[in-house]
Amino acid sequence: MLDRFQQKFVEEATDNVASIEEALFELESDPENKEIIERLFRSMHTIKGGGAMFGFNDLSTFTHNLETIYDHIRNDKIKVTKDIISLTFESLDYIRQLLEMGQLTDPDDIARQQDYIKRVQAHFAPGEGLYINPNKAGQQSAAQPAQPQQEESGPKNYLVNFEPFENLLSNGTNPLFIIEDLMALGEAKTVSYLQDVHSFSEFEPLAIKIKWQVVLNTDQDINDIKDVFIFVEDDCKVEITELTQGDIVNNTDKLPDILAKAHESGNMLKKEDFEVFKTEKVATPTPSVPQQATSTAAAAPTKKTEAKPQQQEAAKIATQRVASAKIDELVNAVGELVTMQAQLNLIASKSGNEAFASITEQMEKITRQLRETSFEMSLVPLQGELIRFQRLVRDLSNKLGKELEFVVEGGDIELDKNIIEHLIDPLLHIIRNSGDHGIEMPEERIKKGKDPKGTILLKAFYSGSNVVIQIIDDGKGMDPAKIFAKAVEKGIIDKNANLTKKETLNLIFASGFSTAEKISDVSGRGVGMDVVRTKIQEVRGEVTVDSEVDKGTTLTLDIPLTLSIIDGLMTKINGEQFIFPLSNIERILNPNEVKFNENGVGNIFTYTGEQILYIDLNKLFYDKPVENIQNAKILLVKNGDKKVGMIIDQIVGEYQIVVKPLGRFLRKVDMISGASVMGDGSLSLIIDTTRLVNYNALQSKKKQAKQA
Amino acid sequence: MAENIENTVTSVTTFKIAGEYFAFETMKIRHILEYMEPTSVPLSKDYILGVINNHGNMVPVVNTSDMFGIKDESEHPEASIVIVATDDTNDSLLGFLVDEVDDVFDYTQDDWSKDVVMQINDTVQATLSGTIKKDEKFVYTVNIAELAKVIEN
Repeated sequence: MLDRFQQKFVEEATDNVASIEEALFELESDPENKEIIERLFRSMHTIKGGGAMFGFNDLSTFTHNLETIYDHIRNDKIKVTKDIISLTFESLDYIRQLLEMGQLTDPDDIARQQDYIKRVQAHFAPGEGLYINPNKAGQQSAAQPAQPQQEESGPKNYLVNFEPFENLLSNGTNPLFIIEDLMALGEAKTVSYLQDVHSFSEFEPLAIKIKWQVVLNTDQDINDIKDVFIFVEDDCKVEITELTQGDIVNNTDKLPDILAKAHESGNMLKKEDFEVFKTEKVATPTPSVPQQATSTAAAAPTKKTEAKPQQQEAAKIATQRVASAKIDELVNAVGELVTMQAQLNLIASKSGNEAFASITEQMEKITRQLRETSFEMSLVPLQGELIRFQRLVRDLSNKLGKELEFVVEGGDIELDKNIIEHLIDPLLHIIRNSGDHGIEMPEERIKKGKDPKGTILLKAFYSGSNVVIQIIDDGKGMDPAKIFAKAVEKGIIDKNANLTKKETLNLIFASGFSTAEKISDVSGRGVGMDVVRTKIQEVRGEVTVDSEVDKGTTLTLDIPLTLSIIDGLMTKINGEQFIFPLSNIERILNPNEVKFNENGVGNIFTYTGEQILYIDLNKLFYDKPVENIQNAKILLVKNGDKKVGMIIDQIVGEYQIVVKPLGRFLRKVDMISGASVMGDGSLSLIIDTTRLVNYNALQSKKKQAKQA
Repeated sequence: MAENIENTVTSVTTFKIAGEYFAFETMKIRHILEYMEPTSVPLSKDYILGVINNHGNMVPVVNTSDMFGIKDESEHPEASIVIVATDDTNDSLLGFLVDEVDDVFDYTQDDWSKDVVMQINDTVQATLSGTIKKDEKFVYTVNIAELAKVIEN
């Protein structure tokens, strides 16, 4: 069993793997970007270090090898290749497995690990042809002056400033170990300084008041020095300056003096203080080049390490990790609170006690605020899940030998966590279908005059209180005739059925329908789009398809933002309480503001010159038309890009309500999206206006068919 | 299900509808509530009376006599709503309006027969799984999972 710390490590390592994955995608499109490579390396290093610390030694060994590749890359010894990126992707999957398995015991697993490590090592072992030929490298980057690699032979001198922040000790770090690590890199001399020492009465044993400077002579490069500080970089300020060459450290003549002076005066050493060594002992042949190298190579990293701690300090507590079960609990509790608040409001308004009423009003404001905040907390951005899709498309593209590109628009939209969880599988399935069946092979695409590279676009945007997610591919599209034939063959529809193109295309969601002509490894295993539809409907979403032969296919998912709390308008219809989501209501009209069609045919009225369809809810729900339309009210409801009028008896007021689903036994009554417990304990039904309009359209169609 | 059990003791709760006795497996029953008027849900099936609030969950209530197609005209002062869990999922609660909750007792396979003489509504007939002879009464056992399927579809 994993203990608490191991679990924490696994959690964090999984996050690190995810960020490596993300960085890899960036690296793929920008292979020269040092900042990305640095990020990759750092994440791997953290996994490696943590792994060793928490008993994941196999993980640590493996990651060490992987990390070595990136160490070579950042030191310009190897170049990023497609191979390396693919191997890294694969390795990430393996690291995920290792995180699950912990220490390997099965001999098969151990053998597999060895194989893996060999494959990874092949990328940096000499003689594999992956090393950059020095001559070639020189030619490639001839534009850059001063080639650091070329004169970087032999040990160099560095001045390392190590200034811990006061809290370094409270994190359990021993600064002396860091200095020891530094000294292990080569030969070194240190000097220490005191800073801001308090008087004894204010003595704080945990606050560190010392800073160090280390003069280091090493043949390791500057990145290795930086690595010593990798776990403490947020807790200290580190500056590394390259000094002139020559044997400074063993110089017994001047160095001890310089160090002692610095220690006494408290003035930290600067690069200039070492100039004396340059004139005296210039052992290397080309004196002008190292100087240049010093300024270019050292200046940039110094700046970077300096800026970093402050930035991270500010961002450090910007987010906090909370168990999602706790957020669920909070949202539930707030839901109950909202219900209770409504009850309280009712009692307060009846009591006639002003003080009581005023406090209740204050409380309602807080409740509302609490509701909004907790609701926002329960939303998560879609972005976090997109990496999986990107990965899927990449794998598909390799497996199928197709050129696929995955493009995302609007990845920053936020959705209820529970809804997102429900969407992942359907989306994976849809994207897999697009890649497998939608996009053609490159040769075929060229023949059709298309770009050999196929695109799968994921587009997400808000639409009212819904989120629309579309998966659009530019593949071969679907042929309605073929779908029709298939549906007839499968007995889904009658061969004489008269369907529009859209209706035909949407037959793919019928259960038992699969257009794959042969079963491939990737998709088409019989579970088809019907599963997708069921999954989407579970979160009260809707999925539709549109397609043009040889142009591509678009799948549209229409998903509600949340399932829990909404602002609603309470109304009465035939004496019963119904709630309309406030976000769907454009306007409330009096019947005298509109002009009903004279003969009442077609249920249309005119409002500000616009012809608007209306639904008499008394008639639809209870089969008796509203008694006196002049006493009724009309809700002007948004429905896509159109408006629809809904005739109701009476408006009661605005309420904040907690939506309770009606459950699966009433799933077919989908124009009622749920119910809510009101302050007085009564129940109100919540109307889903979009579905109500659809239902009404279907009913009128049926009626017309009957009359015809 | 009751029909799979051989010579083991099963507890049932019996209730009356239009003078006839029916039984649910006691283990499936979650609450028995005094009758309260459900909030009606338009456009739902005719035999669904509406929903009630049961500890914050919305539970649909079935007018059992309507569903079974048996009715008497007398008053039912003892009318109750029996809430059952039709399976292990969260939204599996269903309420049944009955004229009166009668008894709770154990029976063995020997007291039970697969035959059902009672004729009710065609769609529901198959959910009656058998008959228990208890004292001088015939009690019809109801397969709740099957009944739930009829209501769901």
